[in-house]
Amino acid sequence: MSISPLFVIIGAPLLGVLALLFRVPARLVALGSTGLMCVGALWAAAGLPADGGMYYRQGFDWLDAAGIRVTLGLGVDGFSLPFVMLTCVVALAAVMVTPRNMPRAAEFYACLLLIAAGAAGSFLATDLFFLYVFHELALVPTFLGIGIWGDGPRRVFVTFQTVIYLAAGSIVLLAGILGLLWVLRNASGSAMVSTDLAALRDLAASHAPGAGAQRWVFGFLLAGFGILVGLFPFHTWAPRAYAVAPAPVAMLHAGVLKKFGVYGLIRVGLAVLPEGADAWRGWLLVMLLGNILVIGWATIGQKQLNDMLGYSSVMHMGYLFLGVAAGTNLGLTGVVLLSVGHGLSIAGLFAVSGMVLERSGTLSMGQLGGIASRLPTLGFAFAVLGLASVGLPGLANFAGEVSILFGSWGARSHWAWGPMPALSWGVVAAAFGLILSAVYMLRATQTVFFGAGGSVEVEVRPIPVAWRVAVFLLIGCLLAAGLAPAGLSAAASSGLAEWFGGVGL
Amino acid sequence: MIVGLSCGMLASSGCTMPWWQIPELCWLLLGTVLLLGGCWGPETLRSRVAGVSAALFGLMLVLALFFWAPGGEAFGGFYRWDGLSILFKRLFLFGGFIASWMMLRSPDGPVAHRVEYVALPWFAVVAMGLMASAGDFAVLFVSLETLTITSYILVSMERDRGTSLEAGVKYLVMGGLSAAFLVYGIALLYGSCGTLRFDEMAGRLPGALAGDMGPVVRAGLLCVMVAVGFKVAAAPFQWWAPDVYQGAPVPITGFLAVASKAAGFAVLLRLLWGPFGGVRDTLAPMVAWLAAASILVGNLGALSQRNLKRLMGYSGIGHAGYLLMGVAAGSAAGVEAVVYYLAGYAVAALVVLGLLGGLVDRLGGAEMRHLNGLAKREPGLAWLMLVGLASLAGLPPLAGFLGKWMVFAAAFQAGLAWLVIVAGVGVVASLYYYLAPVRNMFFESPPPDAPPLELDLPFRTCVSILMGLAIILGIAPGPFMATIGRLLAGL
Amino acid sequence: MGETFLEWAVFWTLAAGAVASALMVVAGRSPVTCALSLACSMIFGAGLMVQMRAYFIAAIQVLVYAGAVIVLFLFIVMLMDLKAEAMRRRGGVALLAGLAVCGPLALAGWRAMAPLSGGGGPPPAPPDEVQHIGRLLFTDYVLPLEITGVLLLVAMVGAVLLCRPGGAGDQEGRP
Repeated sequence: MSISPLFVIIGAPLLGVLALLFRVPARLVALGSTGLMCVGALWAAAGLPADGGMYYRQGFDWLDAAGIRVTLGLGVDGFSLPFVMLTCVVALAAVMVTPRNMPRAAEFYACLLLIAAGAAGSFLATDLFFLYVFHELALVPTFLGIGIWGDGPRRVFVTFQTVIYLAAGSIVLLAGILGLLWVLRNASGSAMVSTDLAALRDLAASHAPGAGAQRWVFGFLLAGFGILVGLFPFHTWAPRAYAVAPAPVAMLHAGVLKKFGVYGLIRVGLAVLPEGADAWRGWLLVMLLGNILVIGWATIGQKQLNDMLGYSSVMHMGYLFLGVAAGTNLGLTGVVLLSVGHGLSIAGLFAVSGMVLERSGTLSMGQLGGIASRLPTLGFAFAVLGLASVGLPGLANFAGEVSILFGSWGARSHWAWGPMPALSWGVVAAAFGLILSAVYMLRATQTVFFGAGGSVEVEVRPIPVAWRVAVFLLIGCLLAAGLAPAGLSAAASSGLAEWFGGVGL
Repeated sequence: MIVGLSCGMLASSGCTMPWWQIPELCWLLLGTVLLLGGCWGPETLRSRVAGVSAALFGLMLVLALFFWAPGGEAFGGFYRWDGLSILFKRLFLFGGFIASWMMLRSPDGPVAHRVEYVALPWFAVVAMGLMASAGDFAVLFVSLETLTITSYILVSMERDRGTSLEAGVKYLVMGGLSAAFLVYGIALLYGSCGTLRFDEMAGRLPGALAGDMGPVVRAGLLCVMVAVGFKVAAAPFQWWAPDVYQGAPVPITGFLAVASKAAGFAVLLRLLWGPFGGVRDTLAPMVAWLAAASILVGNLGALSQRNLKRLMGYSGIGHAGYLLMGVAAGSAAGVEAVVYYLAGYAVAALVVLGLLGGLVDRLGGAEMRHLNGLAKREPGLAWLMLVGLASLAGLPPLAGFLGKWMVFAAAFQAGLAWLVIVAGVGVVASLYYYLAPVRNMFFESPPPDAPPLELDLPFRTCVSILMGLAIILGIAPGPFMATIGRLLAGL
Repeated sequence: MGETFLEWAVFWTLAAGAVASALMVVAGRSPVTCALSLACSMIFGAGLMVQMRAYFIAAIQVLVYAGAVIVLFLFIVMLMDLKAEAMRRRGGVALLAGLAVCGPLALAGWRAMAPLSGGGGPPPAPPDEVQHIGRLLFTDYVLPLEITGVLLLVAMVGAVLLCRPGGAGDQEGRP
């Protein structure tokens, strides 16, 4: 077995965790591991052919039990590559923005690396079992990361709430996965069903399960993935968790790990159970409009900077789900682009709010003000990242949002109201949501960074170089993806087209 | 001793094995020698009796792992030497091995150096081995009683501590009730089938169930299942478990949690794939309901516990529920999943209880608050404990997760989707209470006057090996599952 | 029914006696009453065995249980201080729990046995009952017999251990 870049991407953080068991310079090890991840991601990107197929495939039989054959398989295609690159960049940035005087640094970096490894592994797995397992790997580090290094009076409560919520989502997802395997086995009549994703997709194409079964199983998958992403009625954990979590953990979780839900829903749900997805499209539309409008409205009312960021992150998930609901190639490509853009921008925003907290001791927007005049770097970074998240042209989010809105306009719907199909009405509402997001983001930028001086003293001393590098790395990636989205969108589009093989497009 | 060492090795093929080859005989001899040697032997032996016992358990385990091959029976079919019994005997030896290793270092009151404390697990393992090998209800009943009486003594060893005595009395009452059910059930089954032999009963039971004697058979089956339900601590027969787990010395808690529960499941599998094989479909719904009740009672009951031993008692009820799911599936996949789950549960539970046993005196108790700040006092031990708890909670990539995956998959395959959903509720609840000690260890500060926690190297090694096993079983289950599949092939 | 009125009367007398004295074991307030009631219950049970012509079991039951075990109980009970035990109280919960266990059990037994009451009389006793049992015990049933030996050994160890004065203090004389 030759060395493949995918081994580097997953192996580097895991080896880093192992190294952290011993007395080593923790920060260096973490930087090295995440740096290696980025190298691996670039290596994989450079060598990936443009035809959209799954490459760097490696796999071996892992376990045959209970009529299920699990293969440990890794691979990457144009659809998963952007997610993988996002993971590596945000992981590196998260390590870099961690303060040097972090207490219990070795344990903290181990948690970050485990989250990064879990996220990268779940995007690289070509097997349903490992897709799930890698994501679960991040659960305990998230718990520890929020609980030990978190901030705020209700830290322990929020930590438990988050983890129980995520575990509930995972277990619903597990039931959905087992249900999927069961339904497919019944439909195909074979004694042994493989959890390899491509095999499942082909099996579902040749022996499509009945509509009722598809509807049930897709319902479980949607609820499971939806909880993990923060889909509207299941979102309550997310804003609180991000408000309490230390900045690097919030960056990794909001920026990367949450995208797993959308990724999995497309990779598994839409591809294997197209009829089930059809049946739930109307509900999905209702829920995602809840994300965009209800949560968008709630975001405007937030008084704390990190609460506002947490809510805005949940709100933007609505746009991702709009692309999923549309299910067109353009819409799904937009989902990939927006995932990357949103991941980069929210990670950067959390880094900035972490620095604001460190320097001023509060995140209350009523007390802060005029930070940009004292610390211009923070002001500039927040302005750029905030505009990116609102959807300023030239940054990655814009390309994603535009693709999603265009891809959803006029897409297949079960019902129409007035002159337009339902999804087009969704697009109209989502466009209105963009105004909401502009309102809260610009207002926050105005009051916190550019307004008159606030009532709290801001500690003025040079911002660490590593922090600047990390944030400008994120901004640079946003610009690169925004100014020349063709590379990413071509890869994602061809990857999706290949994966769906014409089904559902 | 030579007889003992050769046991089981020669019995690789053929229908009968000579009586002196059954390993229980060797274990019985070793236990007796330890008992006598510990009382009247030279001082060097008397002071090291726990170490000798652990070493002998280790030796026996090695023999069992590498030299045993299934096939054959002894005592005219009263003793069965098949794959199922071999798998379970290995588990029992493993439980005994770890428990006696924990006794080496157990500062758990003044009983730690009592020779009976060290020797009695041998008799318990003998009884469990015979239960797993039983080919006749007489053997089953007598060996079950032997195990129960041994357990009473072990549990109430520290009789000057109130909880220990209370645990012993509760266990005694429970055991009496369960034995009454078992005898009553056996009598009814004998009355309707005219035999106590498992193989003969397997042939006659379906006919008897369909015939005039149907109600008698039903009542008999019900009574036997109730007795087994007591043994595995399945709800609604679970009420003794938390008290007993809390009251017993920690190594004994570990031994009961692991080996005794495994023995109960050995009997359950032996019965359902033996004499009750023909009526398994009749019993499967009952097992499924027991599973659902145990999962809910155990996991929801554990939510409010503040004592770690008691918590393990409640969570053990929940785990019995997951295991019963695999049994209720009624398939070979289900049985394989049960054996794997038991092994994974044994390893993880022993990590947690082992650490607790080593630390309980220095921490000042087994309440959750005593764990406060462990991650600052001893980060290594806190992370070990975390891995054990995470495996029990069923988080990947640990053995606990894979066990749940297989059990759930087997249940789904058998059409028990509703049971999987009940189990999902249990899993989410269990995450809450397994993370509660993690909160104490990692989020809280240690008490200001906390003494240093010194744990000697052998103890750390033991727990680290167990943790390694939990990880290896989770990420490389292939060879293990292959062994299970091979040994259970003839079931 | 193939049986005389006398047999019928004897059976019901013995059975009712056994159940009544068993109830007394549970309901009696003084331990002496309880132990004596237990012995009575055993003897009634032995009578039932006689009626089934299982003379050996009847004899064993009287000798071992009613004779040895219960007399031992009585000695212990009388030697001990009875005051604490005599004041024990039973709550309604205990009564309910007992009914909850015994009721369904009795119902199940009755439902199970009811269709069988028309069956034939007792089986004929083997001519050499004792030899027969002895031969079985030492041939076919030698394994259970040996395990019983282990059981007795363990029980003895436990009895010595738990009854030794000084609690669980060990050889080194620790408290």
